[in-house]
Amino acid sequence: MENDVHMEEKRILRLVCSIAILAFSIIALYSKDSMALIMGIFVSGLIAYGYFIISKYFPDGDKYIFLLSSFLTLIGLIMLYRIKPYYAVRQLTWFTIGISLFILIVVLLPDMESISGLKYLYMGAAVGLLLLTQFIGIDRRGSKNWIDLGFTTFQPSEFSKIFIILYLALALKDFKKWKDLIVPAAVVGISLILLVLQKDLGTALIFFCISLAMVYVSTSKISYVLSALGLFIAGAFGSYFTFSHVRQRVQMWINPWSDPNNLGYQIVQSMFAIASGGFLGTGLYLGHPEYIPEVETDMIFSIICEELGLLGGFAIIIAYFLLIYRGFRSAIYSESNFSKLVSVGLSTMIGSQVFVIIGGTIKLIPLTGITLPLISYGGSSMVITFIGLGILQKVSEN
Amino acid sequence: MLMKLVIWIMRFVLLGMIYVFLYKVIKVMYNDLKGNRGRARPSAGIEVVKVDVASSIAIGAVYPLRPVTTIGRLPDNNIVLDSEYVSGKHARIYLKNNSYVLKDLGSTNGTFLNGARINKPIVIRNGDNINIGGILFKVIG
Repeated sequence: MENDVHMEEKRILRLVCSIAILAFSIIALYSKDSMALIMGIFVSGLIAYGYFIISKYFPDGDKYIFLLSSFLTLIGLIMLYRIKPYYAVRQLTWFTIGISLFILIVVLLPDMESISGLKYLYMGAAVGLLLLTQFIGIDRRGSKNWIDLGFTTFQPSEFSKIFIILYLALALKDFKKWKDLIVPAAVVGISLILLVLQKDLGTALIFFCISLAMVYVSTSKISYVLSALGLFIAGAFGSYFTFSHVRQRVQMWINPWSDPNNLGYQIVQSMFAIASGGFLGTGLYLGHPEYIPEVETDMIFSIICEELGLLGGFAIIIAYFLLIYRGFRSAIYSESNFSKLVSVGLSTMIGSQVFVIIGGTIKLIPLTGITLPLISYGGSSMVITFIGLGILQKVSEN
Repeated sequence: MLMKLVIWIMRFVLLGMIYVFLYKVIKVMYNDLKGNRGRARPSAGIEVVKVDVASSIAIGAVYPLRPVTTIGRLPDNNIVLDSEYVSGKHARIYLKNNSYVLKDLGSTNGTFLNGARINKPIVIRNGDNINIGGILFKVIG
């Protein structure tokens, strides 16, 4: 039986590698660029190597976290190569770094308890990173959430997410009475205010979802969730009337056609792309990514829907769903409250991020510029998601 | 022309493969949900080799090890040792990455591996001696 389980995993791995080779061959045939094929072989080698290391040293861990996340990254690499090969090569570097960090966390972290003693450090890091951006952040694409390090730029709010999850897990693991919630609530509140000031509305929404899920899991009281939702609605209305950028986003969501060539351009182009894809898609390399702004980061889901069709879009959502299910599964089986809360936080982080950005591109909710985890072009997001997945993998082993 | 046809077919094969991938993963997870985890384990056990205290345990008795085996005086343990020197929930032996790990559960008299008291989970191997409240076991298999 044990062999059967491993054989099945190996079959699935082979399937992922064949998808890589096939998709990159299609691109190579269309663009007459043999580099694409080399890229495909390299990507499948990398995924196979990562799987080999994990299954050799940690046969008890959950391999599907790795298989699903590398499948999603693979789809991202295919689309990025198709948009502009330069993006895909950069992204491949980040993917390599991500896998290395994933393996390093799994190998070097002895157990979850060894990172459970630094509550105030996590709190400081979470809020500190956001404060830092408030003072020395630079404006890019309408949000002041980037820090320029000279040789590279990065998004501190991405790293802040992991720290707030670790902090909340430590603050909530010994929950007894409602007074225990005051300090965590204040920390989350301050972070949310900072994020709204930096016009990083998507991340603010994700912070809120993470905290809500963790509070509910640790207290299992629906009244806290309802009161937090009430506060959120009040806050949302407040910021709608206070901040012009919030108002603009909501108006463009309600009716992008009021200004289709300027403010509503992204949403309108995204919907055109999804509509022209239809059920089966135009086919890889036959869509028009050049018409969609920010297609390599925020709007990558639109081009996936255009070229792979509604079916391709569904497949991506199902894959995310399964990945998040794996995360919650490791939360259910974990022994300590701390690792349970960390897994819930990390799974919610990925889940809410997927919901916020996919919801934005299909005009289900107002569009806010955040990355689609693992698929969008971007180093910070990739590295952070793999660190989060590494911790989930670690929890799944115990 | 032929080229176009080939690419046209490849396009649908790609979508098909993506769905086969998802189907296979879902199938594995469905089996997992049904509790049909089907993990055959290397069979191992612990044998009583010496009893230093008043107890009804027979020398030579062999207890098989499960993925998680609990040892203690209380009747809800997998291995029940009716000796006054054994704590209610004394120790646990569990599988991790294909090796068995022994963990003391905060017992009064401690758990000893090859004569040394353990204070953190430790991997046990064939031939090791485990002393729990004056009852000496030998790991076999």
